[in-house]
Formats: sequence, structure tokens, C-alpha cells
Amino acid sequence: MSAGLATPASAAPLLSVRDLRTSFRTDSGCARAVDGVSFSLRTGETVCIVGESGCGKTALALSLLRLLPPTATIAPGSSVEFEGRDLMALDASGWRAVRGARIGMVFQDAMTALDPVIRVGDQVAEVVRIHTPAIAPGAAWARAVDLLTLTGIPGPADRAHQYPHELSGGMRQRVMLAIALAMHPALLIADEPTTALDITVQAQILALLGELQRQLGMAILFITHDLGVAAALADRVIVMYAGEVVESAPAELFFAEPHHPYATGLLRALPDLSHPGDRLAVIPGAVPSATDWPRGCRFRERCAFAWSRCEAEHPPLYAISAGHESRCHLAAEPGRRVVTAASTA
Amino acid sequence: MTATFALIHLAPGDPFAGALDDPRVTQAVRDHWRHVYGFDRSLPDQYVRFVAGIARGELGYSIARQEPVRTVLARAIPNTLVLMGIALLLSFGLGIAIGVVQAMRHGSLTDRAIGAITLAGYSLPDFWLAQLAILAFAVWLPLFPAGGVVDPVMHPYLGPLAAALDRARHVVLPALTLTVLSAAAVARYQRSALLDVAHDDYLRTARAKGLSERQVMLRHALRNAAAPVITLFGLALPGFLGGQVFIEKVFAWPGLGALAVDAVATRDYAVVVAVAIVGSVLVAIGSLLADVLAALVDPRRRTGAIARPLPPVPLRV
Ligand SMILES: Nc1ncnc2c1ncn2[C@@H]1O[C@H](COP(=O)(O)OP(=O)(O)O)[C@@H](O)[C@H]1O
Ligand SMILES: [Mg+2]
Repeated sequence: MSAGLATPASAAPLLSVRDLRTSFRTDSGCARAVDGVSFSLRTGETVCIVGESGCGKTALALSLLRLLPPTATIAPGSSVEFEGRDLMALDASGWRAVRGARIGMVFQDAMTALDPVIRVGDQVAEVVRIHTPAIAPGAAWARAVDLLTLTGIPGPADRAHQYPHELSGGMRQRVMLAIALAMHPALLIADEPTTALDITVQAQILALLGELQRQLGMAILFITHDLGVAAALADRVIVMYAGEVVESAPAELFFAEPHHPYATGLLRALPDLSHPGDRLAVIPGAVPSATDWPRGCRFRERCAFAWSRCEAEHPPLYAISAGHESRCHLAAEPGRRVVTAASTA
Repeated sequence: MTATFALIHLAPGDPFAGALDDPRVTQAVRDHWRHVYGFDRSLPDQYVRFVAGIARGELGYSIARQEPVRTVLARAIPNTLVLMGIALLLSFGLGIAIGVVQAMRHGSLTDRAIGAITLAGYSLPDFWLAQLAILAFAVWLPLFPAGGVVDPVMHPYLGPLAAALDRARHVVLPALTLTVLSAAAVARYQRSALLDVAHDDYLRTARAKGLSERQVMLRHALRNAAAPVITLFGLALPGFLGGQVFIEKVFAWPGLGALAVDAVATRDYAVVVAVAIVGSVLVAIGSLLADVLAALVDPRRRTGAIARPLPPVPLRV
């Protein structure tokens, strides 16, 4: 999926996120779920955000569309620009014109994300009617059936009359996709859309997504904890850890030369089909709590290479090569990786 | 039914207590009338006759009113249904609207102020509110008549339009009193039901589609939060009959409620039983209606995928 490469480098990005900070008020303090995230996305490009559960991926996605619960705050310095507009400055009516029309969103669990008491056809038709006020109800329904056809639902005219609980998980996720794509958005945000599905259905949905992206020319921000999925889809991979971006690279480069120890750990945890008997490496420990990120490098407690500098100094995003960044002090002292690797081998 | 029979016979006295227990009436006369109406038989015997009569569809004879119970009921039921229908419609319409406004401004000053008012409305004694309404709007500010269904003197002389207006003016105070009492309960149910679904994912999906907060509320939240209010509606049908007992008495509204009060006071057994039977019919109708409505609103209930939840707070209408 290299449609993004066709866009001239000088063109402004479709989506540009700068220093996004989102926190939640909780009983145990302020949870800094997204803590200074920056990235951009060009028209037609697919960016995968990868990271363990709890690292802030969903909070990031919800922040982009302002769908956060009332306990959340976005810090004043955060900036999100989309199609040249500052989303942080949008009022309620401005948001209504963006949500569902220019940006579509697919949520992780389609069972709970669809309204249980409304026919799926009506749920798809609703987004059409909202953004096309003049449309006749019959036409909106016909469009909904077309959209369900587009997402590969068999017997869409009959399925449209059914309720979410009468459909399988894969079918429900296709309905979500039909809703998100109904108005041909410039950007699709998909938050772990296939996590709840079994592996065959997952593969079908991913193939469908790629096919629809080619047809509609949209950009995709795909959120997953599965690097295998990222490998299949991404133009660029962004690894998140503890509310921050820890590595960002073009997909080929990322899979060939990952830099951050967390990223290399994730890759080693991936089942390798060429060596089926291998035991999977697991990163020891767990993601720290968002209310209390560790000082210095947030990954240091789980890192095999950590030394004194990692505790003393919070690492910036170092440029490794053109378009490749890593939040690890090893970028400044590459010799340490060799030394530590040799001593632990 | 059996309970009604037991309760009324546990109470002291019988239909002749007032008229015959006068010391000037001889014991022979008392025994004669009690024998005519069968009150000298043993209780088990009376019970068997009572059940047999009802099984034949005979509601019996009102001793206090000296006419068949069927005639008495036929006169009272339409009055009660008119008052009940208006009050049900108003209190559910108003209560749901208040609950929606509160839920949309959850936690605000408006929400808390309305919450305090509905709590007060929820806990006011009905007869007290009824008398206050009469005092305020019929005595101090004589806008509406204090009681009755129509003007007892002028009504027969009024034209059709004026007659309808006369009826409407008479229904205002009792209907409003009932509405205030039960709209408060409905509003509290509706608000808590809406807050229960407020964090559900499909509402976030609705926002992600570009719906306004009001559309999210009216198209998605309200429908998903309908179940407790529908259950309340089913219970309100018989509940209103009970709630109307004192209201009808205070407003001299000749319906089933006032009839029940009089019948108990005069030990008019047959009428008490008949009103209790109407009450149980309303329980059945209310429950059936609630099930039908719930299935209309939620497709999962049609197949029995989920059961109808019980209301979160005890009913008081
Ligand atoms: N509604 C919320 N209230 C409080 N904390 C939250 C809320 N949502 C997320 N968090 C916290 O923010 C962090 C990131 O969560 P999330 O974005 O859901 O992670 P991910 O999607 O990567 O699994 C977690 O530590 C989580 O506990
Ligand atoms: Mg998540």
C-alpha cells in the first residue's frame, strides 16, 4: 500500500498531531495516558500504531475525534490539524461535519459499539442521512444496502433488516466498516478492529480494508497490538510505550532494522513461521501505571541494556536515519548495545 | 380475591352496623335482615358462595346503594379511566422529558435542582397535595372547581362546546395532582436509566457518526434506557387505581377509588370485592402491555434473549 508515495513531499500532511497530551482523572491520581505524541499522516497512507495494551492507543484515537469520556482532559498545548483545520478549535457543529464524514472510526468491539435495538441497515443509513439532510429515507436505506454489499456481507438486503445480536462478530465488524466508510472519509481510524475476531475472519477483514483503501483512496490510522497485522498493512509503523512514541519508521525499515529495545522485544515475541519450533521471547515485566510513569526512560525497568543514563535522563526521540526515530539513549551510545549483547549472550 | 374476602371479614361490623346496631332496633329485626342477605351463615359457607358467585360472573348486589354492583361499576369505571388516562399520559410525557433534560445536564445545578424537586414530589402525601391544590387553585385563586365531574347545577343547560369545557375544567385539578405525584417518580426512573447507559459504547459510535448530543440522546440513549420506564408503566396501571383512591375522594370524583373508600366504610362487601377484581385485571393488563412495549422497543426481548429487568426503586404513584 504505497499510495502515499504518490503525494508530493511538499504537500501538507492530511493529519498532523503535535505534542498531544491526554490525561484521565482517576481515584489514584492523574493518568497521563497520552503524553506528548506527535506524528503525521499523508493522504492514502497507512500508519500502524503498535503497542501493548494500556500504552495509550485507544486514548490517542479517541482524542483525535474528541470522543473521550468527561473525566479526560486534553492539555492546552496539544495540536491536531486535519485537512488544514485545527481540530482542537472546533465547536460542536464543526465536529459534526468532521465526524462520520471526513473521518470514519471503527471500534474494537463491534458487539458493544453497535446499537443493540436498531436494525443494522438503519444504523448505516443514519450516518448517510445525518450528512445528507436532503436524502429521501428510501434512498438512504438503498445506500446502506450498497455499503453493506461493499463490505462483503452476503445477502445484504436481508442482513440490513437484522439486529446486531443476530450477526456474527465478523459481520458486525463489516457493519461498523460500512458505517465508517459511508461518506468516503479522507481518514479511517481503526482501533484494533480485528482483535475480537478469529484468525481467518481477521485476515478477510484486513484484505477487505486494503481493497477498500485502494478503491476509496483514504488514509488509515490502524491501531493494533499485533505486529503481524502491522506488517501486512503499514506504510509506517509507530511504536507506543507508556503514553509516548518510542519508535517511528517506514515499515520495511522498521521490520529490517528495529532500533528501540522495546520494538526489538515485540518483534522477537512475534511467532516466526519459518522457525515454527522456536520458543517465543517474552518481554519481562508489565507496562507501568499511567498515574506514575517511571523517571528517565519509561522502559528502563524492563530493558536488558539499561544503564545509569536511562534513569537520569528522559530520552528524546533520536533521529536514526531519514524518517526513522527512536526514543533510546543507545542511539547516542551505540557501542553499549554490542557490549551488553555480548555479555549476556 | 381470597385476601379481600379475609380482610373485609376481619374488620369489625357488617353492612348493617350503621343502620341496625341502633339500640331502638330489636334483635329480631337485625336477625331477619342478616338472614335475608346471608350474613348469619358461617364464614366458610359465605366464602364458598362468594367464590361461586364470582366464578359465574356475578358481582353481586350493593347493599349500601341498593343496586347491582355491575351498575355501580359501570358508572364509576369511565370516570376513573378518564382521570387515569389523562394522568398517565401527562405524567409519563412530563416525567420522561424531565429525566432527559436532567441526564443531558448530568451533575449540573439544573440537574440537582430538578432532582430536589422530584424527590419532594416523590415523597409528598397524596391527600395532602390534593388538599393543597384545592386550597391554592379553587379557594385562594378560584381558577378551577374543587370537585365533581361536571357543574352540578349548570351542566345540563350548557351547549356541547361549553359542556366539554366544563368537563375539562373539572378534570384539571385531580389530573394535575396525580401527574405531579407520579411524574416525579417517572423522572427519577428515566434519569437513572439514562445514566446507566450513558457510558455505553454505541453512544460513542453515534457521536463518531456525527450526531449531535440531542440526537444521540433521542435516537439511541432513550430507546436503550426504555426498559425500566416501561416496567414502571406496567405497574403504574394498577398503581394509579390505588393512587386515585384518596385523590378521587378529596376531589369528589365519582370513580372506582372513591367507590372503594365508601364501600369499605359501609362494609359493602360486594363492591369492595368488585373493585379488587378490577384492580387485578389492571395488574394483568399492565404486565401484558409492558411486555408488548418492551418487545417493541428491544428486539432481544422478542426471542427471550434477555429478561425484563426489575425497576431500580420501589413503586409509588
Ligand atoms: N476512562 C478512563 N479513565 C481512567 N483511565 C483510563 C481511561 N481510559 C484509559 N485509561 C488509562 O489510560 C491508559 C491507556 O489506556 P488505553 O488508551 O485504553 O490503552 P490501549 O488502548 O493502548 O490498551 C491506561 O493506563 C488506562 O488505565
Ligand atoms: Mg485499546
